[in-house]
Amino acid sequence: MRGYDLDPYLPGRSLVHRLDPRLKLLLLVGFANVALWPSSRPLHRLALTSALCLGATALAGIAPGRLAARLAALIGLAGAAALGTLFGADPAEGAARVGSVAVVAWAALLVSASTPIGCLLSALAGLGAPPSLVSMLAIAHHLTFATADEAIRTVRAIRVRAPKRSIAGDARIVGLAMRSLAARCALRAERLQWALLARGFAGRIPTAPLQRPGWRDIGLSAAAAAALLLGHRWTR
Amino acid sequence: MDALGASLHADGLSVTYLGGRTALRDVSLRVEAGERVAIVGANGAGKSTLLLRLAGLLRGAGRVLVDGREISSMSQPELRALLGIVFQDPDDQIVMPVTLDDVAFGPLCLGVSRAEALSAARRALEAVGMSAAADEAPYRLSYGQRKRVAIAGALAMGARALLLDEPSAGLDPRSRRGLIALLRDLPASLVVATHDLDLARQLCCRAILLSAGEVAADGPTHTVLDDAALLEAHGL
Amino acid sequence: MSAPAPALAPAGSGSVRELVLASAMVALGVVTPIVFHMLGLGRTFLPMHLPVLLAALLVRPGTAAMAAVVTPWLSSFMTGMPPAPIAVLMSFELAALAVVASGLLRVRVPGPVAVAAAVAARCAVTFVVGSALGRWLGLPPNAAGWASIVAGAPGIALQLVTAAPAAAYVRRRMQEG
Repeated sequence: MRGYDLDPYLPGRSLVHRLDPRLKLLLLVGFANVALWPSSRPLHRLALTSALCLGATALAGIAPGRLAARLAALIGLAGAAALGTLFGADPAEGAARVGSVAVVAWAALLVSASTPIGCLLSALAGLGAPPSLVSMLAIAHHLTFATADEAIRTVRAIRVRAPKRSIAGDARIVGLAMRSLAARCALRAERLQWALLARGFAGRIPTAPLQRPGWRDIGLSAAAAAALLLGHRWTR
Repeated sequence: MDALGASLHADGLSVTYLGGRTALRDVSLRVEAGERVAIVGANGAGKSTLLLRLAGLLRGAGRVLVDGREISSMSQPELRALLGIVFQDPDDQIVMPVTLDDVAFGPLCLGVSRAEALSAARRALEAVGMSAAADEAPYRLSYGQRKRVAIAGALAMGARALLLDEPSAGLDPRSRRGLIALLRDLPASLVVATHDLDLARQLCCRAILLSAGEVAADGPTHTVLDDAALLEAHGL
Repeated sequence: MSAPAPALAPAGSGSVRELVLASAMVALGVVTPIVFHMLGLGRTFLPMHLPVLLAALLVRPGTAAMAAVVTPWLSSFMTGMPPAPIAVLMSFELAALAVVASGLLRVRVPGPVAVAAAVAARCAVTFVVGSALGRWLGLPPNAAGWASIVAGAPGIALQLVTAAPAAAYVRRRMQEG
């Protein structure tokens, strides 16, 4: 699992890839607000936001199927939720709102697929996120890969030691293995702490400062924001 | 990277963990400028604890002097720039998502400007033969390559004395030979904690045998490591 | 009782220690749902909640709250689950879980009692969040709120039984050095 399932970034040189990451995050927040805001025409809003999202995906040069793979679990959830809304006051509106959750999730995936983690961390720092929060994200992101490797080995060991598939036996082995995994994570944290202190770390991960957004970035962002605002007004 | 090695003197080091286990008892050693010393011993002998204590990452009885100055009298930036430590598992040390950024991490934490830090990082990567990996994600590198990156991280800080914990652990024979050649060419003083007696013979002129937290022998490498009875008596 | 062994560490390194330990639990919070999925256990055992609760039992409330907020976001970023809007809602639930557990532990409430109180607080937040979500989707809000809690009943049981002993085990392993 090392790196390949856990790294969402799909390299590219599109306008979306090169857009200032701070503007990308702000546009994502704006998009989510518009998509999820109560509307008198939810289906129109869903259609508009879906079109904007697909357009941005095309502009990024990313095949929709690659993002859809990460949404596979969401599709099941969304389907169940949509079925549930059949029992609600307005099934069409309920289903449209479930759809809007999926569209916002898609937009978030697009941001993560078009922005390296280092740039995202710099963007968060640039937008005023607390240094300890940015540091925690950076360290946790790094540790996730090693933890995932260890977890895979733990699962293999569980399967070897629990072939009989009795519920009680399996539960005990899973519990003990997960407890051990947690302890190893804590011990790894201790070693990482020594390593960070040895390199002068005092609580703030150094992030690369971002350049001032260029006119292309500002123009593209303004166009996207205008489309969102107009769409919001039209479907209010 | 070209600075001469620093001398390292330790007097009466003792460490007892909170669980009551005494890991080091009254350990004294001297490493002259540019010298390479191996710390050998069985599992649990206290090698890693000794390195942490020498690096000032663990407090305890005794004192450590680098170039004649007690480390407790130095500021953290001064100490970290002088004395580097490289841990056994490079994943305990490498934090940033891009190799170059990780090697520059230490200098940036010490307050060096970004341009200088990146320059030092590039020189360090060149010194360890990893210039081509500067823009790669560390998790995509092999284990041996990540070890080199971890060493580069210490070198970039200007370390004149390097403490290495099991540097050859987990390396294939070719990577191991490459690592020995790399370490042999470094001007820094080296303290190498290792089970790899061949590495100790090839790299270090002096060996210290640690057993149950105490110094059992200290002398020329071939004298200590050729004494089979001595090694047998202390678990090697 | 918080994470052990501060006395051996250099002065001023306590906050770094807690930050890194909490980050490790965040990483575990991203990986545990994947592990549960691979073992066919699904989401009913609330796998993401367990490492957050563990973090709360090991570090101070402020750091634990930050870990609780970061975990669903990092998981959403790296795996796509939970979806981003759901990650926002989960942040509130997990923050309640973490702050109550860690806060009570700080005033020397026994671990199992702190866990039970934290789980109750989390359920209260889940009910509010679930009701609001239900109302927004046009579903009966109370029914949606209760359904959100009941769906996680196996997870609640798991947390009540395992969280405090697991934290004690981790502390013991860390103390042994």
